[in-house]
Amino acid sequence: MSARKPTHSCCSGFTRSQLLRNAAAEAGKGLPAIEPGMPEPAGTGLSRRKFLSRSAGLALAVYGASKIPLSAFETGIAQAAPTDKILISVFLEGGIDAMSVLAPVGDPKYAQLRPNLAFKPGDGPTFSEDTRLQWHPAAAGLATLHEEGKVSAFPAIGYDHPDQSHFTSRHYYEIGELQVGYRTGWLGRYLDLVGDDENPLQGLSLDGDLSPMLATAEKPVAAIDSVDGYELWSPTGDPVEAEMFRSFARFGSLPSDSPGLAQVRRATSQTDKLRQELAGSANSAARSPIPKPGSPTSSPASPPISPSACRCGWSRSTPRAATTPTPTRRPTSNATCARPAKGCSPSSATSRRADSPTGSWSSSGASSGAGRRRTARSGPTTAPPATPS
Amino acid sequence: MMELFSLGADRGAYTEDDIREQARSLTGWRNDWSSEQGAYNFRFDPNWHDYGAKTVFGKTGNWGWEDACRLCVEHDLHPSFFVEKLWSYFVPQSPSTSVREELIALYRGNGWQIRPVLEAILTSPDFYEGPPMVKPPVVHLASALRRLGRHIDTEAWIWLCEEAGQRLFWPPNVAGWDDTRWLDTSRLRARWNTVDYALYGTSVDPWNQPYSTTETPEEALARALGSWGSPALREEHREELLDLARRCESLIVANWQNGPYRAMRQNALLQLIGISPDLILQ
Repeated sequence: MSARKPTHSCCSGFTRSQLLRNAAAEAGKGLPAIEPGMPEPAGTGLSRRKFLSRSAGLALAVYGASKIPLSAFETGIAQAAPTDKILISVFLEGGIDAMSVLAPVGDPKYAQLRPNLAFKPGDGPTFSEDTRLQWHPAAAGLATLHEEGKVSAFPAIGYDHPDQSHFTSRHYYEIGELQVGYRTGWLGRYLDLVGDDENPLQGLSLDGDLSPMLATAEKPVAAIDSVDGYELWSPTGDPVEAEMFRSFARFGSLPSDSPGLAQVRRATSQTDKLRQELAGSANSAARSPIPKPGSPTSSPASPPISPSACRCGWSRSTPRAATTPTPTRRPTSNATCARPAKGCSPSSATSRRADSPTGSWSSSGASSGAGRRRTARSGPTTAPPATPS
Repeated sequence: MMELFSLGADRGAYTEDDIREQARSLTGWRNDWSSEQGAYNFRFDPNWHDYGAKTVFGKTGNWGWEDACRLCVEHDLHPSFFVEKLWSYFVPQSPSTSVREELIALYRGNGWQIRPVLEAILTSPDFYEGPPMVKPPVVHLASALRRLGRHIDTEAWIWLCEEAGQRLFWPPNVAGWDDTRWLDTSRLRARWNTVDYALYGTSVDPWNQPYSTTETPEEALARALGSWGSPALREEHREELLDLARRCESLIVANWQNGPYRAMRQNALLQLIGISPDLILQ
């Protein structure tokens, strides 16, 4: 599976999900307190919940200012885990030779079958749970963590009658079930039993697609891999936009008469729930004591934006942004727009996009009126500014 | 080669020994590597080929890579695997035994040509009457562009489809894309944004283009459907869109809103048609 992306991914083949994975990995660096019961590391102020949300935040922050405040994740995650227990599952794609990590040096067949590769007794630390096994010398650090009760190992995992397929084995491993046609994962099945009906952040994949482990039959879960927040673009605006999303949600909740239709409805419903959830949290987070132009206190009968003054009728649908400019949005000559539309914040949006690995889109809000020109965005072939790996 | 593309796993088609012997048949392929290009310059190098005798599926010979492929397609269990796999891209249910046998006979009878099998699948009643399937992102986009009369006029389709889960010629692994898992919150959001992008040029500018100040909800829906090439929507979706059109009209409380709100309503209808289950499914 390591072939999914070539190792020269720092160059042209670099994709967002890879970058996010790297960012999430970086976020976990040097954080010892991931097992239950341990106090927070002094000075870090990091709870496990915050670690998770910060990982998400950092992943998003790689691209510049995220429009989803971290608190949106924290709130959603907190709602999902009121008792403060969060399970973090990190799946490392790729292979490892288990017979070398925990070498069965106590088994005479080992040296016999691996005449050139076999380690000898004493080459590495002994595995204390089963002294026939021995850690690879380079895994001495893992041996120490194992002694301290911080690492568990499950050597020699397998199943009966393997069909020689890598894909079958990986599928079983990911879903925790020995059935080829099984469509839910072991984490997803747990959520189906005890999860919330409305909160997709209870099961979150920090990736471009949902981890098979998290796949549920019923309960909402989320995958987030986002450059600039969880936005659904549309050339509408208040108050029509809210009605549009209401109908979108209806598409997700109507009855289905085929598995395909049910699949679309489920994804639609979850997408809308996630959009609302992140929007709702953003609302509370960005609440400001200072009234902003175009805030909901405006009389509905008066134009929230003067059609002539606003040059950017195209708004992005981050619902929060529809009424209150965020601090990153500096006033510009074009700032009469209370609704930060796609074309309205050249100082933040454009420059942010320009250095993102997926290129940039610029806006012609000031010059042509309709601020929707994403033409400059050049896609993943643009080299990122830095090599995170 | 055997598991994914010609014979299938767990069908009794091959053994561990067959895998090892086939690997020997395939020796000799090399490539160069550079940090800029990755792997390149794939070539067969006879000096790296194992010229000894191999036994594959019970047949012994000094097999090379062409033999390796030939032995797979000549395998008794190949035609049944192939026709079912091809079928699965078009119909989400397995073919009936009679249809399956018919396809196998077509494949064999035409010297392993794919076209006659494909024609038979595309003219099969099951293809038209079977349950719907989720279109892959590229198919969803291609059908949207065709309906809107738009073309491959920007490279943005590449990254938009990649965000939706499918960058062409870049499958997640050698098995290709998983057609059962196209949709989640991340992928559907990307499809939404792809539809928005595809509608550029069709959607209207509420603030800088004059728009009808009298358009009725029915007219609005008719116009939006017309822009999409009049797709057949399920009745409940049509009703919901009409309801949306009416709700939008009731939002108009001031004169200046008559045009702009109707324009935004048009855009909302256009967007929702493009992301409706009707256009995501095929």
